[in-house]
Amino acid sequence: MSEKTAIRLENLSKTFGRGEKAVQAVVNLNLEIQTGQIFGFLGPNGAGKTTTIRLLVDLIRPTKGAAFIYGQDVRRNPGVLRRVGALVEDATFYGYLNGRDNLEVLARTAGNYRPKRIEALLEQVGLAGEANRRVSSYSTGMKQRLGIAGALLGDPELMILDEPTNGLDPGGRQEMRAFIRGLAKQAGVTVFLSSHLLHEVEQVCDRVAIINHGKIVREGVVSDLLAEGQAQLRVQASPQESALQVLQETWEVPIDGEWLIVSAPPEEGHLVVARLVTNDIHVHQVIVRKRTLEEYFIDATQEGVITKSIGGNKEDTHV
Amino acid sequence: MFSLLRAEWIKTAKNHLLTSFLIWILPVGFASLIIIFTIMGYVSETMRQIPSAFSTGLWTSDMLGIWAVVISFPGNLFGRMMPLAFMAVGFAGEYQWGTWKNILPRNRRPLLIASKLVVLITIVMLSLVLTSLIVGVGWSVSHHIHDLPYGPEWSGEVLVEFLKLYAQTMLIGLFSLMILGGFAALSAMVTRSILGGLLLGFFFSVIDAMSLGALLFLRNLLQVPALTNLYQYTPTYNMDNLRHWFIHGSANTIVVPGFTAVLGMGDSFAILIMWVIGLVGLAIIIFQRQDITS
Repeated sequence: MSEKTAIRLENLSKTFGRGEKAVQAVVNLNLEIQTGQIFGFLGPNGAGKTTTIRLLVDLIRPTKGAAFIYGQDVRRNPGVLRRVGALVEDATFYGYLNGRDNLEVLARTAGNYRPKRIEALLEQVGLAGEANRRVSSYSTGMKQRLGIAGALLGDPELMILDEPTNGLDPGGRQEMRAFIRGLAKQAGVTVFLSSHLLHEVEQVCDRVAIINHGKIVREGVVSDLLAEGQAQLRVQASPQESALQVLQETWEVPIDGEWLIVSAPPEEGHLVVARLVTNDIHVHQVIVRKRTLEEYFIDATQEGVITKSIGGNKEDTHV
Repeated sequence: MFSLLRAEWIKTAKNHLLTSFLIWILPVGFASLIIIFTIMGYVSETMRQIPSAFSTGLWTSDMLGIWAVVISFPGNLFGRMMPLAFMAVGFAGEYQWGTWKNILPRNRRPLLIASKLVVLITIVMLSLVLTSLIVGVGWSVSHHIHDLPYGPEWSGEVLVEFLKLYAQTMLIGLFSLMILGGFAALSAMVTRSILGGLLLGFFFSVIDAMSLGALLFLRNLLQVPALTNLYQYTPTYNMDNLRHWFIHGSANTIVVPGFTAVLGMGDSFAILIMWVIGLVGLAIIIFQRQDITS
C-alpha cells in the first residue's frame, strides 16, 4: 500500500456490549480513499459514521479488522495519527478557558505548540476577535470553527471531519464548504468528511460512501452514483389508471401523486409517449428529472445491504 | 514533557472555580481566620487569648501541623477529601467535558496521565506550603501584636532542624498526595464521571484510613490473628511509620492485638512506592485500553 492511499479500512467491525445486549455499530467495512480526495461519508443518524471515525483515529478499538492511514495500522503505529487532524462529533473544549488557551492546550498536548500558527488559525476561522472570550460563551458554530482550527494545528495531511457544519447557519455552512474545498485544492489536504447533509456532500466531495446500519451500501464517484440509476421520466397523463396499465406492460411505473414515474431512460421518452397516444391516452406533460443525491441516498439506505462500487476498483457484490 | 506539563497547568490552574473551592480556600481560609482572630483580640482581654487557643504557640509546630491533614490518621480521614476531590475532578472532568477525544494518538495517554498527576500534586503541594507559610508568619505577627509568647527563637540550629523536619514532612505529604492521585485517577478511569470518581476515590481513601479498624474487626470476626498484620502494607501505616522514623528514629509499633510488624524506613518507602506505581500504573493500563466514546 503506497502513500497514495490515505485511508484503508479492512473488514473493520465494532461491536459494543456483549451477549444479548451486543450492538454491532459497524460491520466489515472495506474502503480505500486516495490522497488528495475529498471523500464524503454519508449516512443517517446512528448509521455508524462516528464509530467509524473513532476507529479511524484509534479512540476506540475494533472488534475485528483494521484501519490503515498512509499504510500504517493505526493501532500498531499510532504515531501516524500525527499526520491527521480530526474533529470528532461535536467540538468539545474546556469551557472555562478562552479560545486561544484551548488551542494552546491542544497544541502543547500534541507537542506542536507554535503561537504564530495559533494566531493564524484563529484569523483563518474568523475567531481572532473572540479569542479571549471563554469558550463556554461561544455559539455552537464558533465551537465548530474552533474545532477546525484545533484540527489544523499540526498542519495535517489528512483531515477527518465529523459533521463539521453542525450548528452553523447557512452562511457559515457555505463558508465551511469553501474552506474544506480550499484545504484540498490549495493545501493538498485529503479530507474525509462525514455528514448527513446530502447537499453538502454533493457540493464538496469527489467520492462518497453511504453507510447504513453499520454497513457500506454504496460507494463511488458522486457523479457516477447520480448517473447510476437513470434519470427519471415523469409523465402526467389521463386517465391515469389506463396510462399506468399500458406503461406497466413494458416498464416499472411507480406513482408519485399525479405523476407516473417511468423507469425508462430519457432516450426512450418518445416510445413512452407513442405507446400512450396509440392507446388514446392524453399526455399532458413529460419531463426528465435527474436524480438528486438525496433520492439516491434514500434509495440506498432503504434497499438494505448491497455493497456496490461504481467508478472504483471493486466489483459488485449483492447480498 | 514540558509542553504537556504546561498544557496541564493551563487546564488546571485556570479552572478558577475548581481551584478556588478546593485548593486556594485553604490558604485564604487560614489567612482570614488569623486576621479575624487578631482583630478580635482588640475587643477584650479574653478575646486577646484566642490566637493562643488556635495556635500551638510554636511557629515550627504550627507550620508542620498543616501537613497533618494529609498524612496522619485520623486527620487524613477527612483532610484528604479536598485534595482528593480536586484530583478526581482533574481526571474525571475530561470524561464529563468530552475532551479526551481531542488527544491523538493513543500512545500519548500514559504521558498525559503522568503529567496531569504531576501538575495536580504540584498545585496541592503549593497550596499546603503557602498555607503553612501564612500560618507561621500570620500567627507570629498576631502573637506579636497582642504581646503573646510565640517561639521558638530564631537561630541557625532551630532553622536547620525545622527545615529538615519540614522537608521530611513534605516528602510524606508527597507520598500521601501521590497515593490520593492514584485513587483519583483509578476512580475516574473506572467510573468515567466526576461524581463517580469522587465517590469511589473517597471510598478508597476511607478504606485506607480506616484499614486498621477494619482489619481488627475482620480478625475478631474470622478468628484469624494474623489478619491485623496486613495493616503494615497499607499506605496509612507506612506514612505514619515514616513519620515515626523521622521524628523518633524508630519504627511505629502500634499496640493492637496481633500487630507484630516492625518495618524499617526503607521498607516503608518501598511499600509506598509500590502503591504509587501500582495505582498509577493500573490507571494508565485501564486508560490505555479504554474506548473513548464520549
